[in-house]
Amino acid sequence: MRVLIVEDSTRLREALSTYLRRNGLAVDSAADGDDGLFLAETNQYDVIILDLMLPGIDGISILKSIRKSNNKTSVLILTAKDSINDRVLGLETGADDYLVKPFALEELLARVKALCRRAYSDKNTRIIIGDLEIDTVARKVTRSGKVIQLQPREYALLEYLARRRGHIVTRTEIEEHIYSDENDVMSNSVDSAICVIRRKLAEANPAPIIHTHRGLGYELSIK
Amino acid sequence: MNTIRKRLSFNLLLAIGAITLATGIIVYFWSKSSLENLFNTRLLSNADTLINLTEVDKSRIEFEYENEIMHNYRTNGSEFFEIYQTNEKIIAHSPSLGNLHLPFILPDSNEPIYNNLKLPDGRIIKTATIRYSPRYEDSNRKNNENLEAVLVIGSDRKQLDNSLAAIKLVVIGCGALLFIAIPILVNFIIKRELKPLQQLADQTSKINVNTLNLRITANNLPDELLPIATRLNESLARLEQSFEHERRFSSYVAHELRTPIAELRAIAELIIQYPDTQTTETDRDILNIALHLESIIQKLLTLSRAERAELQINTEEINPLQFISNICQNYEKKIKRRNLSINLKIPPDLTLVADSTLFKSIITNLIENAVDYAPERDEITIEINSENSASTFKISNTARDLTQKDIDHLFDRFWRKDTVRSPSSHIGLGLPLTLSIARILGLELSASLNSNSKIVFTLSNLKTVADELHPVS
Repeated sequence: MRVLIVEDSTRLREALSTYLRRNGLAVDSAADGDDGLFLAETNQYDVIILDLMLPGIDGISILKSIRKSNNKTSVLILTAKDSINDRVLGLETGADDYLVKPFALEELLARVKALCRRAYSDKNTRIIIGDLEIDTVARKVTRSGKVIQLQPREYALLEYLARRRGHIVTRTEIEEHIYSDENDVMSNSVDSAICVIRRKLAEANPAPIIHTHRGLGYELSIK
Repeated sequence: MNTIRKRLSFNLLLAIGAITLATGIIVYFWSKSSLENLFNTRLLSNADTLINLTEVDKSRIEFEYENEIMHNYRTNGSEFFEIYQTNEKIIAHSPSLGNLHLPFILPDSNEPIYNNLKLPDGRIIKTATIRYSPRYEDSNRKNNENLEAVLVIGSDRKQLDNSLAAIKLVVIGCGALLFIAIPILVNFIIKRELKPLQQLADQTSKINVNTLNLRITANNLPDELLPIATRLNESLARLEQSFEHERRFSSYVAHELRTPIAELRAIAELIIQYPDTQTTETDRDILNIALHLESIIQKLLTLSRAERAELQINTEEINPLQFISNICQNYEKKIKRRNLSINLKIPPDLTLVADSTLFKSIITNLIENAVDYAPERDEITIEINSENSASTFKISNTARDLTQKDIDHLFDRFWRKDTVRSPSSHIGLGLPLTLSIARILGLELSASLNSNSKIVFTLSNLKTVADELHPVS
């Protein structure tokens, strides 16, 4: 899952980025409204965490701009403004969620994940494909009852494929959703990660579950 | 009973009731007196007729009975008379008396004596007893002879009593009618006339902390209540402004404290969950957040002390050109980095008298604001104009984002232009603090936006040395 944080407080922005990355999310961040809007319009994000009071363009204007360009990315407003009017304005402008500072990191993560699930029209926190089971809350993967140990990015990639099960997912899409701008994505990074995941899954059950479609991308399904 | 309406009704009813009762009594007794007088007059008029029919002939009092004028004195008539000699010997009496006699009284003078009598048949008559001298036949009068007679004349007073009873009935009837009508009328009139007061009370009772925007409608109020409504509305406006000010302040305080607390919490939670993320930098961040919070609290305390005028003032002479140049030097790096220029228009020989510490605090804050908020490559103009006994300090810079509405809030505690976050070193307490200090020093600080989108801060009433040496008498 790829997340954009637009927050002018450096300390908060960095703490949030680190926490979300540690939880397997790809994170980009912007310190002001102009950069935030540029990134939101340039990249594809699953969730945008948006502060309202920003240097340059303010949060509400960014939100309006995003929605005007028919960008349906989920937006979570993270702000110190707690009045009913502010909440109503934020949600009516097109935000999907509203969280007031100060907040618990766990709550923010849970809300971001909920928005991601909503983005993929999946309200279930457990994804089951054949003998593969992914608990998206505990971030636990089992196959044939055996726990598969994955690195955060490997987990993120597998979850992304699982959420789009039965569909061919291109490398570009994977790069856009799993890797942030800060990561220097090598040309074979996705292939290498897929290879590692396949190997780890095969240790529990050798039957292939991630299929390669040459020139197109990858598909997670039972054939 | 503790309402104006009830008290007014009670007192009015009491007063009107007393007046009505007194009027009734007066009317009745006046009518009675008038009728009695009329009755007496008629009685005396009849007596005159009878007296004229009495004469002395040969030292003997005689009464000449005239049938034509005596029809009321006939048997079963309603008029009665009896004429006595002073020795109580009866000279004549009316047939209407039959065998009865009217009581003899010998009056001391010619003044009639009135009495009421009840006849055996139950009739009540009123009598007048008159002592008089009958006329003499001139030829018959002996020298110095002066015989006197006593006339007792009476008349049935049934008609008089009936009239008095009718008057009494009318008076009591009217009293009873008024007894019912007056409370209704008084209540109706008081209710109608006190309606504006009731409306004022109703409107006032609707006003509370959450409805301070309500105002008293003064359109139909009488002149007596207009000043109350006007003053009440003025007070409400001030109260609303004050509440709004406090509400905004609380909101700003909460807002300014939320972000550093959120930072602190996020860093702490991150370190607890992922201990390897703790570095020297995160420790420094935590310290800096604590210092930032401390700075907010310190400024709030200073502001509170300034607003309570608890700051000590020690005045001294200041050369403003040198004083302000020194302050500007502290911002030299920032001025260069932002390509700003400062235009100082201060007379070199001008000397001001002020508390240097507090004056520096004011000037520093105004210059810092200008340096931080002016757009890059802008010119900041600082000038002091001396006129008569006062000098005026002005500092101006371009402020394209500000509107006249923003200017009204510039001196509110924690106010910052809402949509755009200002530099993090500003927390919105500098200008209110500056304003409070200026007030302590007896200075006037104001802000305005001119047509060139320049914000101008004006500090007036600055004292010059000349003022101190040669005070205007």
